Amino acid sequence: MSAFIYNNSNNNNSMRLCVMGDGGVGKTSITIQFISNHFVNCYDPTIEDLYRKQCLIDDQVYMLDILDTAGQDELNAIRNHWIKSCEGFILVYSVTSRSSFDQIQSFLDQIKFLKSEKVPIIMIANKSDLDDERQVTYQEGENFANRFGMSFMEVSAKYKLNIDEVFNQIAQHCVKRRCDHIYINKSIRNKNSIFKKFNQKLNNTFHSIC
Amino acid sequence: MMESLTVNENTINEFEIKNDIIIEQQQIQSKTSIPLLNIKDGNTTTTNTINEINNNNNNIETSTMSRKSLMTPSATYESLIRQQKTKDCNLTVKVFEARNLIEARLRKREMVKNGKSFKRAQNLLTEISSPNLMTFSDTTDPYCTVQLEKQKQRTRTIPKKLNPFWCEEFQLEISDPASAKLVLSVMDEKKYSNDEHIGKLVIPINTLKDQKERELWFPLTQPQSSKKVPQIQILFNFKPISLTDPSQPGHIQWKVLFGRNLSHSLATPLPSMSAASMGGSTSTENISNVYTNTTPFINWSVRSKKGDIVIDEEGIAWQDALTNGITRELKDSIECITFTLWRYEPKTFSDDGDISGLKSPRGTNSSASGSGFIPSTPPPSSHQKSNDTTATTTPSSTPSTPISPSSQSNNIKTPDSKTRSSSNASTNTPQTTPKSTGTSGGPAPPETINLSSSINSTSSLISNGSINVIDSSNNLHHHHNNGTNIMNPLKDGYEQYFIGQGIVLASHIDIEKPNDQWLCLYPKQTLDNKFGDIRLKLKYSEEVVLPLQSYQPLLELLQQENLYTITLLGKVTKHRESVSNNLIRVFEKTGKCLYLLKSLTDHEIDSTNNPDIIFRGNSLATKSVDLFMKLIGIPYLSQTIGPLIKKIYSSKKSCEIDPTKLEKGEDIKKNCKNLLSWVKKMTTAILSSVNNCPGPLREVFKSIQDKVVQRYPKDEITRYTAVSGFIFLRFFCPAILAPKLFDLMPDHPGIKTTRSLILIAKTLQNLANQVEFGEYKEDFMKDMNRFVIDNMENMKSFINTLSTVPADCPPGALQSPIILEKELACLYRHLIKQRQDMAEEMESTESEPKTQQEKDSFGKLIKILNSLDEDVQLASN
Repeated sequence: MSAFIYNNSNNNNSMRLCVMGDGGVGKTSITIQFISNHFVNCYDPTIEDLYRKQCLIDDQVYMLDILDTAGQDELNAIRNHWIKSCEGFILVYSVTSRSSFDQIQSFLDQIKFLKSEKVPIIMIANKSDLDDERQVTYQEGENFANRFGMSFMEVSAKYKLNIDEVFNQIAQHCVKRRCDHIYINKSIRNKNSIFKKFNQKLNNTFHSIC
Repeated sequence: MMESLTVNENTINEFEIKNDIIIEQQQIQSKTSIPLLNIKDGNTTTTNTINEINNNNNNIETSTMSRKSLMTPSATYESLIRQQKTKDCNLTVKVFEARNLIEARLRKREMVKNGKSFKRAQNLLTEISSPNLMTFSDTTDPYCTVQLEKQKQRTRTIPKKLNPFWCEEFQLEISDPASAKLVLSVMDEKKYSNDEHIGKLVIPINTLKDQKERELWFPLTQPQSSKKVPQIQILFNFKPISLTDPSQPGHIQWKVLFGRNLSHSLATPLPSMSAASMGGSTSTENISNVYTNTTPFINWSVRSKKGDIVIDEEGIAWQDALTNGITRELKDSIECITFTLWRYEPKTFSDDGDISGLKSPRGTNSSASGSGFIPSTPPPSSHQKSNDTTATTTPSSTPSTPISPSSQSNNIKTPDSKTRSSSNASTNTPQTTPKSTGTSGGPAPPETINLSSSINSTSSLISNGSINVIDSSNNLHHHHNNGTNIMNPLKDGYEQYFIGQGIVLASHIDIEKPNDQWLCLYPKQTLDNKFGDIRLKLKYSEEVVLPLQSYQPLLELLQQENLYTITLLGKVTKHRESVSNNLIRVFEKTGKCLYLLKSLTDHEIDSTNNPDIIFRGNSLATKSVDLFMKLIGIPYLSQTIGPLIKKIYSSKKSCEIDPTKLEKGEDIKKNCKNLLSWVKKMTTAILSSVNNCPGPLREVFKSIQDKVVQRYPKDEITRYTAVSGFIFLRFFCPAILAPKLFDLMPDHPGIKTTRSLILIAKTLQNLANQVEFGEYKEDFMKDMNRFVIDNMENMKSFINTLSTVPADCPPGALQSPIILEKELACLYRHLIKQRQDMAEEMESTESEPKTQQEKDSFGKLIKILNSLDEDVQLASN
């Protein structure tokens, strides 16, 4: 519990998100489009990149740390620690690749194994502008997402379609989850007189977040 | 086609029949003296179909029923079937995390409570000599060791966490799944003294036999050295109930041979008993009473396969189990036998005599055990009388007379009678104590014993349960009540103490001959013993491996032109890594690996429309090439970057150039120089290693580059990125990021080293991609662009050279030998599981229509799988 207090007091305005998906689906393009409003046209595989951007959510300014990850299975060794350190996840597949859609399940399984509690996850389908090459329909994606309790959107990094909406939505889910956690911990802590001196700090944190 | 398939099947059957005959002949010649004529008769009855093999088996069984002299051939046939059944057992352990570990200070208090004052003093000295003396801090740095048979591995150390997160996976091979145990120990790493135990978990492999994947929190138990676990050695003589004749009961007989690490256990108190029965002195009898009160008692129960408890007995004295054992009749198929050991323990040690008595006999017992002491047979007269008494007092438990009496039945009866006789004698002893006080002559004791037997018989007739000591030996509750009886005053000050409990599975007891097993006795988990929890994912797999000839049709189908079966399996499988691994090893063993990889990569290049994302995704082709690189390229990798990785591990210099991650006092320009230095050394090591690359790998890269040039002749970049997507993105860079997984280093890197390795790998990958660091990606990496630009031509040259194959290339070295039968058994398992999915894919209208050749290929596959199904079923029985 003390670790939670420590982290909270230092990182109450910062959250880390993780963008995951098969290789070549456009994870980096989506991230850079959100960060810099620019479409990167050249393809070169990512190993591990970290971006930052300030974002206004519910009248509060947050610093988003966005972790852009490698899609190749061979770099799976470091994937576990991405999952452990992040609190929100964006799973990406491409509408032009059924294989990338089929692999969303394995990413979900990994997150479920490594996160004991429920975390916000959003699934997005990229390259929605390439309709003539489409291999996965909107309905298929939405059905899959609903079955696992995820939000779903179709986006286009090229034309910046729904990009900001994705990051705003996942950030809001994370903020809501944080508020729920703080409330639960606060009510538990009030029963224990030993930790009375922390109540004031928690109250301040609670107000500043919510 | 059908005719050819039929011929193949006949060939398989013919081979199996010949194999059986050869083995059977050898067995008969070596074990029996049957005349040669009988062997010839056996041969003439053999025919060329599986069904008739079964008939032959029935004939053998029939003949054994009519003639006892042919019992051995039946046993020979059973052992024959057993020998053919080879199994490949593996266990995957993924250690996720632990929680609620005990703090270091609390663990020391536990030690004080246990009275280990020496360790406490040692720890105090360690603290005084520790540089942390001023802060008085004592943190926990946990790691976890995984041990199975002779394999032992460990996770990394997570500093200063009572809820560590490791998330590491281990692959373990099991040679004896019946007795193997998985042992996990959570340890606290110490800088200045030996590592300290925090908690322990033991999982017998036989509890994972259903081969399901488990992901659970397991409670940790108190850490103990394996040498101190209580153990008993039990000799079993087990015959299960006959399946063909349900009216013929089975029997179970067990006997304790030895005990180990049983606190205050007395292996052989019988000599004192013998002395007492032969008219020893009063003091001898008193000592005998003390022995009896401190020996362990055994509860045992048998559970049937239906789940019922068919035998449940308590309070068997140790010396009875040691000298005569227990024999019981079985009327059901049984699943497991549970043994529980307990003993009486005095509440206080106020009596010095008791302490002295406890200590002195230990040496005697040890020497007796070492010399193989065999108890003498009781005198015939007392034996006969006691037997009569037993029959009188317990008529309901007497086994019913078999329908056809024989000497074998009489042999089964004898141990039972002896057991009851001994039990009767031992429980009578306390009663003789007061009456023998005044006796002085030799002839008097025998008469006294007989007299007490008569008294006991009279008491049982009256049905006075409180003094029926025979029943008390079989009833724990009654025995406990008997402790308060005035006739046994020594038990007033004692209470029961639990030693341990162990379980033996009936399937692990040999039914052909008596055999012994060591049984570990584990304490039961109580709420007071909280040592934390550990979360694991366990996956046990066991494959029946048939002879290689059984898999020949499958092998031929997999290697057919156009690889229809492999393409179909690659589309539907959810275990791409495992399937690719088996395929690569099968084709490597048969010398066709390059053909497989060329076909897969060509198909991938043809089906990818955008040249920029060739080999970017995860597919059967990318995974197969990756596994091939790991199969034959690890020595090349170790030779090329291994020494440099070692230097980076031991370096203290920081390479952080991200302004937001700099620590206080760090100079970003200096760090940039450090990073540049490492990158230069790494690049030089790799670019100058082309001559050490194994030839087969270069063949693969040449094939890929040729195909890309053919398809995109005007593209000047893809011919390089297609190759670098394997040799850098999937081989060198993953090895740089996680050196332990490629056996370059024994440990995982620390936080700073990890960051350095990430930055080196990113720079190297950009160079391999022929791409500068742009303004939209991580901005701070721009400082590396000069290096990237300067070395682009060198990188192109390296890739071009790598994609040509001179004549003097070194061949690749396999990390471990490939056993073709095992790989094909695993592939068969994958095909069986995906059979339904493949059928749906064949009938699917979404994808492109299937050609007639593909349909024929799938039809053949189904027939082969059905045939293998039958073979596996036959081998499993």
